[in-house]
Amino acid sequence: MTTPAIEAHDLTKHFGDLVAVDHLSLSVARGEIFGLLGRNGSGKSTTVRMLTTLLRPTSGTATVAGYDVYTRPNDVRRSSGVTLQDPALDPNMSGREHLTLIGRLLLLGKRKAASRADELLVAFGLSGAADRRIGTYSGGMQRRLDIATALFSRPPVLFLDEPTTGLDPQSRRALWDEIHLLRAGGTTVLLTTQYLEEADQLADRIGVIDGGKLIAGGTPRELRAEHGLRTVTLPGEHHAPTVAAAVTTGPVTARDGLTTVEVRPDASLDEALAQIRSVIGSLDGVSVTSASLEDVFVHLTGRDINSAPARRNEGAAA
Amino acid sequence: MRLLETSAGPVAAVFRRSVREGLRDPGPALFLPVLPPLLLVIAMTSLFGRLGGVIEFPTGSFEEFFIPGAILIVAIAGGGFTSAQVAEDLRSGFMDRLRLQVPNPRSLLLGRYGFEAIRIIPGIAIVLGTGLLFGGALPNGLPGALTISVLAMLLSAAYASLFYIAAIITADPQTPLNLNPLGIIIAFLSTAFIPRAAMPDWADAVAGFNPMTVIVDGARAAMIGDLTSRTVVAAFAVAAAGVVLGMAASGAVLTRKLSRG
Repeated sequence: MTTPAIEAHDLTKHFGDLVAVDHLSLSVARGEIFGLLGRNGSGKSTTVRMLTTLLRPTSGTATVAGYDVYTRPNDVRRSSGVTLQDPALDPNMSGREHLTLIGRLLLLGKRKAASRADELLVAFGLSGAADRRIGTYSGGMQRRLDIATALFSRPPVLFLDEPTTGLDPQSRRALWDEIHLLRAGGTTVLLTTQYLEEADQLADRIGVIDGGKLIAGGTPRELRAEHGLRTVTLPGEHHAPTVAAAVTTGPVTARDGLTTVEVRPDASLDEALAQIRSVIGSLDGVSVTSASLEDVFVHLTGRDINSAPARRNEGAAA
Repeated sequence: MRLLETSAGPVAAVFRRSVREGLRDPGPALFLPVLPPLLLVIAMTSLFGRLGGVIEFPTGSFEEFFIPGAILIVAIAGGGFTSAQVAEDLRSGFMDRLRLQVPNPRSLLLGRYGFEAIRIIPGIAIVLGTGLLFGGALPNGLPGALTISVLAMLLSAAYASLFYIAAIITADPQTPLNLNPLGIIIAFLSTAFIPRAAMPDWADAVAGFNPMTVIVDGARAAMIGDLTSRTVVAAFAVAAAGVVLGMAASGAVLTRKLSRG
């Protein structure tokens, strides 16, 4: 059996009385894109900082690329690249100076560092701005440079902490393409996001984190199937109590010329349709709407993803 | 040995970055440390040259006594220039980025210590040259000048550690700058400007414990006394110990800060 690229068991982080991450366990296979989905303050960044050795866990265990974050932190750092929530760049340096500095810190010779810097500047479309001050770069360019930095040593594991926050839709799409390319090249990616669409588009599997706890996980399809309500819409306003008396899969409402029947995740859609047919006689004009990831998130956490962070996590567990 | 191998590259890279920062902003990095001692040399030798007749200076003249002290003030004035960037790196998260690339976070400070030592070389040359024009003496010639320069460079690095510690603890680029008045106290409560015999008892007692006194006395001996004397050796020992202790303390504070996230 292949060792997972990232594995955590009961990972916990306390900041004083605050429990930022609470017994979080996850496993990410090699070559997989795993999305950690949660609101601001849910513990995503704290999790990334622990997995990348920037923060010592209070308890629990974790390995990255097979290396223990406690006992082999240097190997973890050598095997992984990281972009943090805000691009970690010196605005007074040029893109080329920045990447060359990273290469030199990684003990590459002057020529090798410069050559790898050039390679990354081209790959990330920054060669035209290579000698400009980073402070003059757009948000998208800074984020691309940040990711290029994380990839300098060609790490097998990449952590991207909210990589597209603050980017315009075009830059966001471009970054998604780059992340897909990285995965195609065999890189394992753990990305945190508060954008449902991003998790849906990018991640092979998603972990939903709330209040520092991982409360659900699976492929987007599995999450929808397990936690999402489906909605059956019937043409015409039927007598809701009559329909409700026959249908046991979820609540029934009738208004604005339509009747809707909700089908709970644990109920069978086929059963619901059969019950509806028994009441109204036919399924002509009936439509079924699958749950969105947003529906799943609301179902799991009781709030939408843009709502204010839970009070317990304010501040420290960004 | 392994630690040395893995640290040398990062130290050199951070040193080069500090040099670039210094050249980008040469005023505070290279020339600000010159102004206070230069003004002191001009003002003190012009105004207090006759103090030699009032206070007994071991060197004979006030000017000869005062110039070595003024040269060491270059190491203290504008101290810790690079500490503001350390604080900024911490605040912006860039330090985390750098930390992820190196096995030992202490190596991220060592290169900066190196720059703190060399950035005062132009200042030393200017103050030494001006001091000689205003009545200073350099009977030990170039060896004497080199010795006092190295002592000043060591003092600059040791003194910078206080600024690094403040910068790391607060992650605020402004805070270390507020420490600058400390240099005045350290200098006045040492033998930089007047001999201990001329100080009030309480100041004499403080000066006796002030490491700056040992370094200034050594610098003075290197410039106009016996270059191979114990006083010079003691000055090197104290200055080098200051650098080592400062590096250890600031490295420990940085490591602790980074591990706390």
